[in-house]
Amino acid sequence: MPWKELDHPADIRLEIEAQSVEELFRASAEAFYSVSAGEFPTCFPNRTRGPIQIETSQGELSELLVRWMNELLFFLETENIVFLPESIDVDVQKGTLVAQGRWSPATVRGGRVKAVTYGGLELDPGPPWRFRVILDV
Amino acid sequence: MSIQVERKDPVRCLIPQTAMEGMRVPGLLYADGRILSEVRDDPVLQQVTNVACLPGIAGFSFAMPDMHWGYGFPIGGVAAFSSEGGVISPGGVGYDISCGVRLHVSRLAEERVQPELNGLLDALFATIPCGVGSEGLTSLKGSRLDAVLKGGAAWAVRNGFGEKSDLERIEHGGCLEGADPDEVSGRAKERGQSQLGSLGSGNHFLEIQRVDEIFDRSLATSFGLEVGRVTVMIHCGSRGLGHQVCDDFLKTLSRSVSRYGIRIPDRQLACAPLDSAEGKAYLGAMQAAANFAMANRQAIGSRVREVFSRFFPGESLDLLYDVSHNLALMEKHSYEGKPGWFCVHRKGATRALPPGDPKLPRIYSKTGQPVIIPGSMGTASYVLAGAAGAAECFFSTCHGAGRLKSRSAALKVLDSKGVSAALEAKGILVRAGDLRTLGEEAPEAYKDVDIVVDVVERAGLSRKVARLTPLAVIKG
Repeated sequence: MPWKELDHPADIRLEIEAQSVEELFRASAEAFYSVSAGEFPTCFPNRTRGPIQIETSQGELSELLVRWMNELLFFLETENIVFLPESIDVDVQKGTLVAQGRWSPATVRGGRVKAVTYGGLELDPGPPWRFRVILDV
Repeated sequence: MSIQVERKDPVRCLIPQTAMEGMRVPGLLYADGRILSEVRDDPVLQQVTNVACLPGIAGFSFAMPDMHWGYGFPIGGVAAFSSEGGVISPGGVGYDISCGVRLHVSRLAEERVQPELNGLLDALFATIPCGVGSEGLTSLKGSRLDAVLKGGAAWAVRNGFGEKSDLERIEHGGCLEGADPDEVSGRAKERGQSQLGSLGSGNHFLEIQRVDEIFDRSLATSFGLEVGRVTVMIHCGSRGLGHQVCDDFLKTLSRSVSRYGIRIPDRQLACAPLDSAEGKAYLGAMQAAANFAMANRQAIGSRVREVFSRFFPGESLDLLYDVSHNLALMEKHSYEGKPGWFCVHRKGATRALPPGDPKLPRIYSKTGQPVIIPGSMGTASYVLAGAAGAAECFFSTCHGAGRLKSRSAALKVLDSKGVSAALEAKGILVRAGDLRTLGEEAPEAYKDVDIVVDVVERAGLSRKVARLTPLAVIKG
């Protein structure tokens, strides 16, 4: 498991680790779904709904990671679907992310995470890359 | 880093302005010895000092006795920013905008309710959507959702949820007039459109309670509270809509800080000048989300009444009061001997107006504002009344017990089944929308609400009126 839960008095603080930036985004998706929906689906029907695209003006990797996880949250809450990223193209300088992948119905309705926050955000450059983030539940 | 704390009196501690570079005011903690020992090494004290660095802050960066680590601002934090040079920050309101609590009061004795309690709880659990991913009592789209964002609880009443007389028993008459639905993003509206009339998950709940103890007979009588009578408490907020508004404006305002040359020690303290376009936009969107939250609680309260009336025909379930504990509002206060306007941020803190305050509805002008303090499952909740001493903190008080232990630590003490069994052993019935939440929200994960309330009373911020104990709980 590329992530672990750290101590936090009210919500859920995660440390996510990966050997590359792209892997860090994949691991963040796995961590998010595991915490929010209770599991990361293993069966993904070949359902296309288009890629996930994010643009930020900040040009910071940690901001992109929060935006990425909040994007996953939005689709889980409003359409009850999860995303399996197959290719992730990140340009930190431009602050852009394009993720291609497959969508699958979630096994449980909605998710327990209400927001991925900027509070206590930490990113240790890698490899290994380590990202610490707090999820509001 | 250890933060310097000086005790001022048995229930107040000061963080001197010199504790950290950049502080514009000192920090003021409402804490007795036990509460201070619980937070002494917690990041919450750093957060109090961080807030003290924001432009235009007046008086102190306050922390109520239920303080704990939040996002940017501490939970239990109160900060007032002058209309001249001050800022507004989504971090000072929190993700669940206008999360709050209301109390309905019956004239029913516990003995009359007990034989029906199991069936009543089942009926409420079947009627009130709760838990992860729960959808609400009504679906809203387009202009209908905008009408909720503009009208708040008044919209709910116009659409069959409750009675017109409820509105004077909700803060601001159930509607913040500065709400601007156009500033609420399409994403926020999409998240909220199917959630009106739902508890949600986390620490939200619906509880059937009995009045266990009266501290002030005169005030309790005015509030319709007698020992042994049954009450219903509802704790919830603006659901995904409010969370999305917060997230949207954290992004917007994180760009504002550099534009306006504001230095912030934590990016979750992103803010904008009160008179800036971004600041005004957030204020309008945040008030719209607050209206959604007040409509949400009104819709749930109305359905609770309907279920009650099936079990107890002819019996009323009057609303005592509905208060928000995550909000920032422009308020007029006397500060340093002069009247002025301030944007008072209360994040995990409750407004508490004293007797005679002109903002009080007529029915509470002599008693002071009812303040509803929810406990945790299995422990007491309180009804307080606003008191004159709260002038020192812009008429604010605590909001609940405040968390003490992490979710994982709580689960190590008792799992969800264990919590359920422990509560039922105390005679408290439980239903949960999300079983995992039950363990994480165990009473042991929270501070002792009796001590929290004792501190705010000893500090003169509010007066104890009544203590309520749970009979049955629906946990979101």
